Amino acid sequence: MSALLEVNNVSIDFTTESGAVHAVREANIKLFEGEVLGVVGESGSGKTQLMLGILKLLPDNATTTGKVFYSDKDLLTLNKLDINRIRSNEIAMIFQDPMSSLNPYLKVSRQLTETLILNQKIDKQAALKQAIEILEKVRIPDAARRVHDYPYQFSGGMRQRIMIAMALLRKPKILIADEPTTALDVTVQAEILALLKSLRDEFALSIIFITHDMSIVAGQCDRVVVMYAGQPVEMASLDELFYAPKHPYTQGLLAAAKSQSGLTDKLVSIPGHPPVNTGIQSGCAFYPRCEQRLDVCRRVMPVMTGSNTQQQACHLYD
Amino acid sequence: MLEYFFRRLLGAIPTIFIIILVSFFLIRLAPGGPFDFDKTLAPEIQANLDAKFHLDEPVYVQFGYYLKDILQGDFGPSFQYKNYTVTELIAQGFPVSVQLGLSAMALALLLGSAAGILAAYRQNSKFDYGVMTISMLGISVPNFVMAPILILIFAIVFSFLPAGGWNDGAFQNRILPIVTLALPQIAYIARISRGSMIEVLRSPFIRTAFSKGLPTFYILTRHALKPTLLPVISYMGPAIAGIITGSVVVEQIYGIPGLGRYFVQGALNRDYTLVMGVVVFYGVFIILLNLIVDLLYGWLDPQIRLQARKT
Amino acid sequence: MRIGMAEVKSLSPGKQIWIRLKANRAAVTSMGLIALLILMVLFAPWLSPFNGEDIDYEAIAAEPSLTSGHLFGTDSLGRDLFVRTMEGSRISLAIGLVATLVSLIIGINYGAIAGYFGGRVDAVMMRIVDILYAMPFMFFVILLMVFFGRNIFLIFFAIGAINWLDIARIVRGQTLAIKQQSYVEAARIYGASHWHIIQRHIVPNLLGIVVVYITLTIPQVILVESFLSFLGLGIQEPMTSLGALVSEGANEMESYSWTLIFPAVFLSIILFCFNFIGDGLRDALDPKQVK
Repeated sequence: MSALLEVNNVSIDFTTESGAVHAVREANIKLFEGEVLGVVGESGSGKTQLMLGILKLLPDNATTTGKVFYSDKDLLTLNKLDINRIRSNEIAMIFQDPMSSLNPYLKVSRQLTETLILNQKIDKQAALKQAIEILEKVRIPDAARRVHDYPYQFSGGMRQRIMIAMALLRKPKILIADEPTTALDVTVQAEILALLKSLRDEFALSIIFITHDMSIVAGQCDRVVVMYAGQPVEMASLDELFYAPKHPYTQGLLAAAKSQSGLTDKLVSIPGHPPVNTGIQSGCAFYPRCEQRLDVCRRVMPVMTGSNTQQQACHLYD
Repeated sequence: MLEYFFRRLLGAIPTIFIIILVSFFLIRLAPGGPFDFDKTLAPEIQANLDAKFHLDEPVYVQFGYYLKDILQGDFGPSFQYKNYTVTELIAQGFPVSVQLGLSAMALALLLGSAAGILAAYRQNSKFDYGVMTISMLGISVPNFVMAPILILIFAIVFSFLPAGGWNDGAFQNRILPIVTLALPQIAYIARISRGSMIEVLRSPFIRTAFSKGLPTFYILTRHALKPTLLPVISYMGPAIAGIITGSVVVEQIYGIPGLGRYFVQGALNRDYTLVMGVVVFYGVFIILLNLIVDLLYGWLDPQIRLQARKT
Repeated sequence: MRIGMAEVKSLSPGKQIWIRLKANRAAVTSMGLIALLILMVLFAPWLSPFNGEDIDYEAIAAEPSLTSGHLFGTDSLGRDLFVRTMEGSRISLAIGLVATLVSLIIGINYGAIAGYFGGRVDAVMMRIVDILYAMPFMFFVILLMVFFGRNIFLIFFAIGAINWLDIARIVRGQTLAIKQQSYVEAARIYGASHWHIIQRHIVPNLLGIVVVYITLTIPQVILVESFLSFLGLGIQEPMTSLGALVSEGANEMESYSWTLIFPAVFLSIILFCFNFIGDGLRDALDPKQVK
């Protein structure tokens, strides 16, 4: 089965005052139609940068190499007009903090309808009608009146619903959700996650769900990619990941998550801290923190190996 | 919005009051001023003065009369121009100054914002660098240095424009004064709008706009422009004060019969009432203009306009 | 350090600031120019055979020339322009420094008191600052000059009293932030007096900001003084400042343009350089700020 979206050997580097930063190194990821793919990692693992890179939303000091295949085209080679069309109608992204991700000076109605009016050439009245309908779908009460309000007049949870509405209104094939619930209260989190689940089937979405929270992964995703220091280190189906994690980092994440939810007595965490992604690297990035490391791990960078459904980049399984 | 307006108004009134109060005491205390009676005067003259200025009554009553006069626009007679009252002089000079000031402000806003925004869009380019350097020049070089140099270039070396004079507001006479007045403000506004635009372009909501596939020009004008210009509008208050201050020198150098020039002449000739009158007049003027700027800002920011409640 | 990872050296904040500052070419050039200027202004007049008051009857309104010894020429009264420009620069710089110090003292104390006591006191004090901020101070200074004469001390004080608003605001902000820190709480529990806390804990943290403020205020102050002198309301004879010299030069510029150009260029360079240095320092101290 061919992938809907295929990230092929993508690397992203930033040139900064203090030298080059390698945010993403040789990432290979596939998204299949109709699935929810979780992308898990700590901050600095490159997950957000990779997604931004796919849509060419990175700042000028970023260099992206590799290919991103969607609909038989390499997205990274598209010109302004074509990539805008993809962003508008095919691949939508929602972000972490809904307060700062919505324009405080524009009414919600405008922010919802502008893509419809500009890109899909729908007239104002029809666009407004669609906007109200989608707001009702994401359960904003009194939508017909509130569509004319400003973002600050909504609560955090409602703003995130508006962001979701803004994305779904364009009827995309792929939705990239970058930690959509991290900035919200726990109770609101649950509502938003439930909403996403219900909408997924109705809108026939394929979702890439970025998070650092393993419990969310367990509740939402079909397959998971684990990223560390800018690279995918394990890729597996949900069950395989949770019941038979292969990469030591994944095992560490799961152990920490279990201890946090009170399933064990002691609080477990992975020793050390995430690496700084500068300079040339030899060997496995996780080496300094790995409790199962071998000598070869220090010298040779591991590559992804494994079966069709579960792969890992680790010398333990070579 | 209404609450915002009244709060601002309430803040303005005590300020105006204090200006008038301070001016009242300054006039009384000035050595060599109209109330410096070091020689003993003939009783009839003293009686006349007492009656006119209510000198036999307590200070706060005197202040009351003074306040009443000022609020009715009476600043007293001019010291140097014996046949004119200060009010008449202000009425003569102010319209001229306003014309120059408004033109300079408009020029500064247009040119300054345009330059700043373009520089921000092409950040770190040669254009950006040029704008920053030239704006530094505009801020550093005082207008009384710029004016003679401009006159030297445009009126003396290349005789394009007249070296001075108002000529009843003829167009070519206005050009150099307006440009001289506007230059420092163009520089400040360029810097402010550039900084503001850069910060706005980095905001998450602009990233969201790009992620929706909206055209760049649309994003710049409809999403970015308003938040960029808000700090510029805030700057209008100090900008107006700057232009008024600049007018003092510009009118003097170019020989323009505006309020600034009357002020300088008054200062040099120790015309206390004129100087006092101009300060109070301009002070009140600036406070009222600041009030208008505040209102404009409040109207443009949805959170203030719709009276934000905590969400 | 990590095996296989690049070494990341961490430098002290002071070092980082210095590196950033050095990278700013405009600021570095300006610092060099100002240093050069100060040396010139202090020592160059000794090299010239003339002083600023004597009239050289043989060279009235003479053009600049190396042979006559009048490097910048003479003014319409026959006084050597070079020496007068140097003297004027000296006075302008001196006033700049002193008035800046006056405003610094007023501003730091005002801001620290407002920030430290917070609440009502702070609200009232800052409201006053807001009100004063929009006022055209030049007019008030001129008013004072008219009413009370052109006393040099009055000039120092009046000009200094103009600029303290900015530093007061900044200091108040910093004080509020520092006040929340736990070590200040600890000091208070131990019974340290308010004054002690302000001096020992708050003031040292303000050093960077104060330095930036000084470099940016000096040109503002020099500007105000030049403005006054230009109008004839500032420095009195026999002292001269760059503003007065520009004024004289502007009067004579149709015939003797050098009398305008030299003081104007010096004044502009001084203001320009201080502004660049201040800008550079501010960027170096806080690189996250929009450049």
